[in-house]
Amino acid sequence: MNSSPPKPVLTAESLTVDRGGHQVLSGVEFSIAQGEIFALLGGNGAGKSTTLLTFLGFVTPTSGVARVNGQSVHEDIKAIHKQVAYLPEAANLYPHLNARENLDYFLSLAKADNSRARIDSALDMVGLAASARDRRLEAYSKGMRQKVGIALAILRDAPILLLDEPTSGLDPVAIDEFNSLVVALAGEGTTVLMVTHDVYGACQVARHIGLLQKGQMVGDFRASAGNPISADEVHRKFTESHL
Amino acid sequence: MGNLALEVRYALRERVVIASLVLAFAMASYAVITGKLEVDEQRSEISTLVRETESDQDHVLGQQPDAGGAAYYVHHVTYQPPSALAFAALGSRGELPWQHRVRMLALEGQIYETDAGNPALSRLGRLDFAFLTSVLLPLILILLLYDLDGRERRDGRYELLSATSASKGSPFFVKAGARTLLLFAASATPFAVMAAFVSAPLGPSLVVAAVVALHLCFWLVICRLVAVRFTQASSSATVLLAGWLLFSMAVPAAARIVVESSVPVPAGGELLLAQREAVNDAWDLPKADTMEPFVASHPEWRDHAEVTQPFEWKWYYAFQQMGDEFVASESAQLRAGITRRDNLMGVAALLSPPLATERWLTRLAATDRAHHQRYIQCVRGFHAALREFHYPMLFGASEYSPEKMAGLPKYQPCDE
Ligand SMILES: Nc1ncnc2c1ncn2[C@@H]1O[C@H](COP(=O)(O)OP(=O)(O)OP(=O)(O)O)[C@@H](O)[C@H]1O
Ligand SMILES: [Mg+2]
Repeated sequence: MNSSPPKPVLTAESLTVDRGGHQVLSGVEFSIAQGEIFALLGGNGAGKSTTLLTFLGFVTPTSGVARVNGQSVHEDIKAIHKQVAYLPEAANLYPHLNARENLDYFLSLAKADNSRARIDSALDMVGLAASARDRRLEAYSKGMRQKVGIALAILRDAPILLLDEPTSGLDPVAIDEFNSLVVALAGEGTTVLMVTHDVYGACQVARHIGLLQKGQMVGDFRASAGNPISADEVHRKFTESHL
Repeated sequence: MGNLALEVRYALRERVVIASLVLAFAMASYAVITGKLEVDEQRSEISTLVRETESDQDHVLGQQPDAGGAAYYVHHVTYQPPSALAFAALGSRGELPWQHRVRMLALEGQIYETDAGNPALSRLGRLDFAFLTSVLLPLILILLLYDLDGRERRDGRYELLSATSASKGSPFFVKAGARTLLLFAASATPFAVMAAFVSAPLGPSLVVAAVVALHLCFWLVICRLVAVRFTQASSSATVLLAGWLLFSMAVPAAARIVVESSVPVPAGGELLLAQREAVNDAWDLPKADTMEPFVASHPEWRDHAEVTQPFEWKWYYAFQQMGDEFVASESAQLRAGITRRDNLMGVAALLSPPLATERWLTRLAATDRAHHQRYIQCVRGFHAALREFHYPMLFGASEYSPEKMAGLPKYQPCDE
C-alpha cells in the first residue's frame, strides 16, 4: 500500500466567477483526490452548477483557476472533456429517441464503445426497466430519464465524473442503487464531484463534503477513518448558513 | 467522417428534418419534371416547325417563275435547340425567343419583331431547378439550421453535447453539415435521375451538382456564423432571413438597376421601326440612292447593278440589305450592350451567391444570355448564307432554275 497522500485530480484555486454581471463564485477552494467522492451542497443559486461548468470550461473564472490533474481547464478544454463524464442538472437527452438510441448517439459522439450489450448492462445497473428501453424518452418519467443520463455518465468510462444532482427524481430504491454504484466506481479509482441537495445521501457516499452559500465555501467536512461525516452536523451548518 | 454519418443517421429521426427533406425532394422533382415537359414541348414545337416549313418550302418553290419570287415567298425556320440539361435551368428559354422564322428580307427587324412576345414564353411559373436551388433551397436550409444550437441550449443539452464530443470541431458544425448534406441529397437526387434519364453529359451534370453543393455550403457557413453570434432562435432567424433577402433579392435587384442604368442599350423595338422606315423610304427614292451605296459596300455586284425597270428584284433585295446596314451600328450597340450588361451582372454575382448559382446553372444548361446571343449570331450567319445563295441569280450572274433551289441553305444550329 502506498502511504503518500493521493494526488489531487480536481482543484479549485480561489475560483471567482461572474455571470450576468453578478459575482456567483467568490474565491472557492477545494481539492479532490483520485478515487474520492466530493459532494457539493448548497441552497438554490449557491453556485454549485456554475462550479461544474467551470471545471468543464464552459464558464471562465474572472480570477483563480480550475485544474484537472494539475492542468488549467482553459488551456485545453478538449483534453479535459476526454477525461470527464458530465451529467447535466436536467439530464435532457433527446426526447424523440429511445434510451438505447440516446446512449448509442452520445457514446458514438464520444467515440466510446457503443455495443448493445454494454448499453444494456449499464441500463441494468441503473435499473431502467427492460420494457422501457425501446420507448422514446418523451414517454419517460423524470426519474427514468435521469437513469438514462446516469447510464451515459457511467458508460463514458471516464476517470472523472461531474454529476449535477444525479439523484433528483429518483425513487428511494434507485437512490440506494445509485449510491452503491458511485461508491463502487470510486473504489475503482474514479474521482467524483457530485452536486446534491440530499444531505443524508451525500453523507452516505461522500468522504468529503463542501458547503456552498452565495458563492462562498462556508463548510468543509471530511470523514475520519471509520466514521462517516455526520449528517446532523452538515444539516445544522446548512440551516445556520441560511439564517 | 464517422461523426457525419452518425449525425446523418440521427438527423433522419427528426420530424422537422424529414419534413424538410420531403419538401425539398418534392419541389426538386416537380421542378425537373416540369422542366423536362417544357423542354420536350419546345423540342416538338421545333420539329413541327421544321416539318411544316419544309413542306411549305416544297409547295412554294414549285410555283416560282423567277429568282426574286423564289427568294421572296420562302420562309426559313431557325431555332436554338435545348441542351440536354436545359430541363434544369430554363433561363433564356423562358424569357427570350428561341426560334425565328426568317425570310430573305431585311433581317434585323425580323429578329427584334418577336422580342415583344413569343407564344411559347413563360408557360410555367419558372419554378425550375435553378430557381429552386438558388433561391428556395437556402430558405429550407435556414429553417433546418437557424435554431440548431438554440434548441440544444434551451433543452439543456448544449454543454452535454460539447463536453461529450470527442472530435476537434464543434459538434454543431457537424450536425449542421449533416443536415446540409441531406438537403443536398434530397434536391440533387431528382436532378440526377432526370439527367440520367435524358442522358445528359456526365461532366456538366456533375458540375451542376457541385454548384448546388457549393451554394448550400455558402449558406451552411452563414448559418453557423449567425448561430454562433445570436443564441436566441428568434434573432438568429431574423438575421438569417434578412441575409436571405439581401443575397437572393436585394443584391440582384439593385445590381440589375445599376447595370441597366449605367449601360444604356437601344431597344429592339426602336431598331425595328428605324429599319422599317429606311426600307419604306427606299420605295420612293431614286434607284441610284439605293444601288450606289449598295455597290459601294458590295463591289462584287457592281457590274450587275444597273436597274432599268420601275421594279426589279435585285433593287428590292438591295434596299432590304441596306435596311440592315442602316441599323447595323445600333444592332452592334445592342449586342455589345447586352453582353456588357451580362458581364457586369456576372461581376455582381460575386456579391450574391444565389445569383452566381443561377448564372452557373443557366450557363451549364446553355440557357444563358451568351448562348442566346450566339444563337442570334447563328441566325445572322444563316441569313448571310441565304443572300450568298440567292444573289447570283437575283443579279443575273447565274441563271435561275427551280432545280437549283434544291441547294437552298438549310438552317443548322451553330453550337451545342
Ligand atoms: N446563464 C446564466 N447567466 C447569468 N447568471 C446565471 C446563469 N446561470 C446561473 N446564473 C446565476 O448564477 C448563480 C448560481 O447559479 P447556479 O446555477 O450555479 O446555482 P446552483 O447552486 O446550481 O442552484 P440550484 O440548486 O438551483 O441548481 C445564480 O445566482 C444564478 O442566477
Ligand atoms: Mg444547479
